[in-house]
Amino acid sequence: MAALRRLLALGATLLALVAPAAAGELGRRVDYLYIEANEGGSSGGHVALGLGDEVFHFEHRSPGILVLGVDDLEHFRYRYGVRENRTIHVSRIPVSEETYGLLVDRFRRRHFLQTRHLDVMDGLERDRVTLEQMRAGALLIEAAGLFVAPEAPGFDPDLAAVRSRVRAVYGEDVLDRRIEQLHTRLGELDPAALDLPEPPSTELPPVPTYSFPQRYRDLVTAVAALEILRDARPLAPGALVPSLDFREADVVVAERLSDALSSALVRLVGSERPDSGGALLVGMARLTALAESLRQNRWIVVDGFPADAATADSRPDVEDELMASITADLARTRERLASRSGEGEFREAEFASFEAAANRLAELSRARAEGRERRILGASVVPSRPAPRAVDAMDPSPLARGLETVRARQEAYAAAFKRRWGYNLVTRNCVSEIFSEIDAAFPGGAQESLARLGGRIDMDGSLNFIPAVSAASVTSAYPVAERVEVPSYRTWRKEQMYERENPVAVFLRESNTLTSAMYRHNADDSIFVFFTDDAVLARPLLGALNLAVGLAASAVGLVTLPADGGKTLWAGLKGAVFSLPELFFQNIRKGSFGHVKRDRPARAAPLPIEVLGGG
Amino acid sequence: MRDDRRLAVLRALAVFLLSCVLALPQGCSFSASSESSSDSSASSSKSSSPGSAEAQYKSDVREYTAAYVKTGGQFDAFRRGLGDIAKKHNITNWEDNTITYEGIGEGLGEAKASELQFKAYMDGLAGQDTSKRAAMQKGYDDKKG
Repeated sequence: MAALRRLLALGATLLALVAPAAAGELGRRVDYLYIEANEGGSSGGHVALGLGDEVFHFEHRSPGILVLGVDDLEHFRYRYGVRENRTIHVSRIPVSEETYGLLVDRFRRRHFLQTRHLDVMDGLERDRVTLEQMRAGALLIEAAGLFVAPEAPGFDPDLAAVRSRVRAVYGEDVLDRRIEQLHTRLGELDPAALDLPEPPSTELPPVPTYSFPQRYRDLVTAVAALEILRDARPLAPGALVPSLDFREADVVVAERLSDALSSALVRLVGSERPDSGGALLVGMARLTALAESLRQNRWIVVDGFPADAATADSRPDVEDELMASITADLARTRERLASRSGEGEFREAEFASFEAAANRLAELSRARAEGRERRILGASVVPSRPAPRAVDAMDPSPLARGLETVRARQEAYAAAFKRRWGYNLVTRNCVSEIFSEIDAAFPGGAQESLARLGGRIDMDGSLNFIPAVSAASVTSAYPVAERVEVPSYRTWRKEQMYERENPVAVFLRESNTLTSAMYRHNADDSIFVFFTDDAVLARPLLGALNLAVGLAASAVGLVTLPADGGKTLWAGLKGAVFSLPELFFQNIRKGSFGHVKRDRPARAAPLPIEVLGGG
Repeated sequence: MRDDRRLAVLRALAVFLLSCVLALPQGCSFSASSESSSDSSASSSKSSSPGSAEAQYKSDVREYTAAYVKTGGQFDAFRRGLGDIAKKHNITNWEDNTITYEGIGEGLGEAKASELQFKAYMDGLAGQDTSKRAAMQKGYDDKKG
């Protein structure tokens, strides 16, 4: 029975996810999402705009800027509804196909525009680092550290085979010739011609530039890569990570991947693209790993962890689940790799996903065995182990001037960005920007917005900047056709438990963090005992107890300060602070559920609150 | 409906004021990065399928190309920028990926590049490679309307 209910709940969720497509047949809709508050990231609540399967929302980021993020609907619901345990209230506004298209265009354009400017700022930071390294006499070359140093003995037969193919195609002396050409181009670079991007001044994206430090780094990287190929230099110790044993079919898959990658590397040597060096380094390392896999009859991948990988505390209580989740991810990516290996193309992004999953699983096992913190692989999973490479001596004066100019440009760029998109709690926040962008989506501005959407919200002089108020205003100002509530993870799980178990036992057990079967303390959560989001009448009493616990934990934290660096003190103080609203019947803190993985069917089905006549 | 709104205003105002005074002045979601580190050991990709990952990459290339047609700039800087976009999608060898060319073609189509302009881009980026040229042409035809 319980299994049937879960199946029905999952079915409803899936229906809700495909609903945008169905809605398209009858006209489109815009979803205004209000996400209840929680401690930490957004104590004032949050809002977002759902357009089909995409959710647009403005996030406050350091240093005081407001950035438009875009998530797919499923990820958004996982992030806020499950991990952050926040109920999401949805107001659905029907719109015409044309209006929908204009809104999607506007929000996507804004997202692209900001992303490009943020990328440019990242590029300026890389330029600064490059110039500082040049002044110090050595560049750190990404992925070059996967191979042994030039003076180390050794010879890799698989790279030698690629080298032979390269020479057969481009000529016996091609590698020496290319290296010499690159040195000539390095010598021709003018450090005074920095070619830096101009700070943003219009609504246009930045003009692409190719700065002196970037050119210099690319050329040095290309030289390093070609030298490694010329010398058929082997991989450095620890550059390979063993993974799953081969199944029978994997031999053919690995052979096909190896053939496709080898051909791609030959083409890459002949390429005129300015940044071929990095791709060549990573590709050569992967080719060697594939060859080793075939020799050992099991998958072996390149170490993907960057030198400065963040680490996470060892958590035995969540690691079994994490292990199962990553193992499933690895199996999925292996199947995907196998199913498309016959196409004769080296699908790099898919291979990188497999490589990343293998790295994560191996790291988790090793960290457990060695009793140390595990390294975390972020969104960027391209192997990048760096190695220093001495650079030719240059006149220090232009480099010093260049560095000064880059720093000044970084400041100017960041200041211009902040002027244009700076965060303000009242005047420019996640609410105000959504409505400002909605107006800007239409050539006729606010008036056309009103006409097309059947309503409009004004921010000036109102309390609409508060997320919860804006959600209430939307339901009264716009012709909302339907209101839906997506319960938080804890609410949803509790409902399931109520159906299966003794309700009194569930209520008592799940009312607090000590006996809860579903909650596990997350390092980002404050210290508290009682959940108060579902206990309205008892909230002040439970809040007082939470306050006492928070204060007691703070006192303990003072004692343990030298040992834990203030972690307990901070968690205790937060616990006390977020208990105060509870004394006044208000709830912010709800706990978080970061240990619940996305691949588990742990999503609550949306509950219709009201189906209205509007639209 | 009006009562609902009044109640929401009062409740929200109370929470908001208490939050301002007692907690952190962080209306809206504050993000130190796009993901918290707590579960990043598992896959942190926002795309749920390889198809959507490819679609996101193509979309980024399309938008970048369309913007370049409008803003202009040096061609080698444009090519270098393609490398940066590809790397964000965990692709280093973008030149060997047909999705790249489809995205470029779509971007040119979206920016209403003329046939002559399109031909120049095609020669400059795809060379004589028939599959790359076909991918660019497909993207251009799909979007030029």
